[in-house]
Amino acid sequence: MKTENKRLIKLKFSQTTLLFALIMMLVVAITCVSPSFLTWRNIRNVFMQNAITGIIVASMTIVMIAGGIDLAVGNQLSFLGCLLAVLINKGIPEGWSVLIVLAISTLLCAISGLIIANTTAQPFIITLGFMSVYKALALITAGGSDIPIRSFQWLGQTQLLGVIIPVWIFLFLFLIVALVLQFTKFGRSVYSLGSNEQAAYISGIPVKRLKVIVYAINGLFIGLAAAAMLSRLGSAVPTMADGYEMTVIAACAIGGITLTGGEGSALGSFLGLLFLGIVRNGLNMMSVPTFYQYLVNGTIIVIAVLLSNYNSRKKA
Amino acid sequence: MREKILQLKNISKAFPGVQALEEVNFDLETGEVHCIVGGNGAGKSTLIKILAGVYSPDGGEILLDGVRYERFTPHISRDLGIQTIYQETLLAPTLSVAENIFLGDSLINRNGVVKWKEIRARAKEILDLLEVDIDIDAKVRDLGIAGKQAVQIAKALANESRIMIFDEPTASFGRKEVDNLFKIIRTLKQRGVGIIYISHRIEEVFEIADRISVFKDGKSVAHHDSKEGLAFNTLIHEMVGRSTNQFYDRERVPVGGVVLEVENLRGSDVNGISFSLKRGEVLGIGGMVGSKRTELLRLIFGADRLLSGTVTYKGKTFQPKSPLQMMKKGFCMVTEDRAITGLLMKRSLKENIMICKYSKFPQMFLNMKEEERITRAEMERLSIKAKSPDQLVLNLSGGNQQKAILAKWLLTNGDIFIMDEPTRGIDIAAKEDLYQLIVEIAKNGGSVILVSSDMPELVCMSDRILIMKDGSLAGELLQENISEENIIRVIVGG
Ligand SMILES: Nc1ncnc2c1ncn2[C@@H]1O[C@H](COP(=O)(O)OP(=O)(O)OP(=O)(O)O)[C@@H](O)[C@H]1O
Ligand SMILES: [Mg+2]
Repeated sequence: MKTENKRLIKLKFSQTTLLFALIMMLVVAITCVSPSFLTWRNIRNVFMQNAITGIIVASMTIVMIAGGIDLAVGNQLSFLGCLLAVLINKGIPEGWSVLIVLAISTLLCAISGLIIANTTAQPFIITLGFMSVYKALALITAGGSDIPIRSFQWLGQTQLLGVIIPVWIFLFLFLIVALVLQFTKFGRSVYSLGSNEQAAYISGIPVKRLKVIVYAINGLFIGLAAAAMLSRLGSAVPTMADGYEMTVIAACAIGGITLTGGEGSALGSFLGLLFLGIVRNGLNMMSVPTFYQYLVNGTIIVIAVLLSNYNSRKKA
Repeated sequence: MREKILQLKNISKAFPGVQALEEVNFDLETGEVHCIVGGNGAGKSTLIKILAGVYSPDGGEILLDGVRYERFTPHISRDLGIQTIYQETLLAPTLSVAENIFLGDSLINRNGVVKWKEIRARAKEILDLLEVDIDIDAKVRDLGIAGKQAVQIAKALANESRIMIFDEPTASFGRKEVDNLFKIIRTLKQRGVGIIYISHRIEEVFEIADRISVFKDGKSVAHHDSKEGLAFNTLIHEMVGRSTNQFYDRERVPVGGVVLEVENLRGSDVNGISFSLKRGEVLGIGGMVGSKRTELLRLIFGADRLLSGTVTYKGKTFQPKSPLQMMKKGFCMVTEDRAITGLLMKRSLKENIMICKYSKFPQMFLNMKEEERITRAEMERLSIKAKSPDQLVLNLSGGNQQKAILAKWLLTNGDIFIMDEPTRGIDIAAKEDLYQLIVEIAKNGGSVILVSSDMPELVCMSDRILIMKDGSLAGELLQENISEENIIRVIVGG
């Protein structure tokens, strides 16, 4: 009744505002326990720790708003990292190696996009299959062991205004995605596709082509993330990014994107990622054992999804 | 002797930015049909959703059998014997017709086994009452909108109840289906069921109503205890504040030469259809529910896979491949199903109205200012009742959603308008505005293909009528032969 109305109005302020408030509360709480949390050094750390996943969160935001999903991102990232390491160690110039990896990555995701666009198969299942394919490819490429790289570390080490380049790449890409989703026709079609594919199709949106493009963009971003990650670590490990898809998808979900698509925003996903990153960082600072960290992380994801479910039910 | 079963007193309900209902009083007796009429967004559906327990009122009380309730929940409402047939169909798309009809029902025997035989038999029985030709084993998602509505009605009929609420049940029904529904409603009346009936088809209301309440802007503004002596125009005037003619008399426009030639179109449900369309012509397509008219339109618009056949337009012969291709050539398609092919329910009115314009014309960036301006202009032109251009389409009333679909296509400046039940669920004033728009399109040299189950509409608007039957053309009526009787003759006859 009265209260119900108030709640409806409040939800208009949206999940993003809510999330922002939550992050603020979290920051205050953690700072109270361990004051060193709110230092420039540590904040920089949070961004450094999340730059690689962040790059993929940016493109996953587009994929998921369009109603798709890609579970293979983590394993694909590991595979591309190994591939790039092999190329660089073969003596192929760094620039060319990176370009080759970007091209391959984009192409691979475009292929999953093509399959998803042209069949009725669920993206969830298709990319689940690819996950395993990439895992194998990573192990095969690396020949079962780690591959230290002889050069290319500069990208991950060089600082610009006191912050390493991967963080800048992450922030820059996120900004681009936010602008594209907000202000371009392409961004608008992504929302349309996600909210009602049939209506979008009848309204003249080339849904198949759009799906392929969306996945291809994801591939491009994964390639960039692979380059950033490899140069940061200085060596490729065939399992280096396994499980990243969890964090990526969780960040998007916490940020307000639903599995059905058509909702959410880049800002939301950014805050979702920040939220997860701060929680992890905070737990570390309070030296909570890793086992428990998984527990906390998992619980947060479940609560976030419940919240967003509740939210969309209210709207209906 | 009739007795009051239901009484609503001073019911109010507000949504952010709109007072959907304001101190509304309403009552229902056993064995009567109480009709509610009113313009789009008047609050009719909101009232019945309160009775169904979907919304709780902000104030007022509900008396059922003299027992006072502050609000219902869907559960209480069902237990009290209230069945609702919503304006928008709510069915499980991947289940069969029979399964949907008995969904949530306990047709399970003692051993926990579903009584399939009985379910199928009873589903068939109920659908036969309606005399609609629907395969009970078909998946609901494969049915047209009229089919879905029939299933929805059957589902409600399958449950014995004391109060039945129909929210625009006939919006996509033809005369025959309406007659059958009315037959059923009359039987229900005799059994003492109280019926609330909402419709924008005023002639239907006059036919079935015992009492009529008129809603306007969330208030109950008039009430008629009998339809004796009640003039059509009085009712219209109370509803929309202006008079209209019961039979719209459209301005005739000279029809020019052939612009579109459809040759031997064949799709999975359409068996080789050929016809031509002339400049400035309104070509009606009639037929019974399930005669595959929507399927034909989708083929022409490139939305479904064409098996064979061609289209000749502006001197070029080709096969329609995609909606985008057809749109660029100047075709528009106003679809019949709002939720599935029509609108992005979870997005704003603005986004929905702009979508086709953006797809048709090359442009990289969105123009926010223009979106706002255009949307407001369309809201004005079609009198779309919305709080703002940013309101979610989901929260618009059914008729206003329909107007949003019209608006998005009108903005593409097309030449060939394919319209599938364009007046489904819109009020009588808006209907006249749309008719005027159609005439305007014809005057400017455009052409319209109009599919409608509303017979008077088809008769008054068309320059020529094609009749479809089972996916084929069954006949053609030229202007001088157009009449309801002739249409029915072609439909029924060989
Ligand atoms: N869930 C909602 N949230 C916000 N506004 C709503 C919601 N549901 C309805 N409204 C608004 O309440 C008003 C009444 O809507 P309602 O659906 O009852 O109209 P209606 O009389 O059924 O119209 P129609 O003939 O078009 O179906 C409209 O202005 C509508 O926009
Ligand atoms: Mg309604």
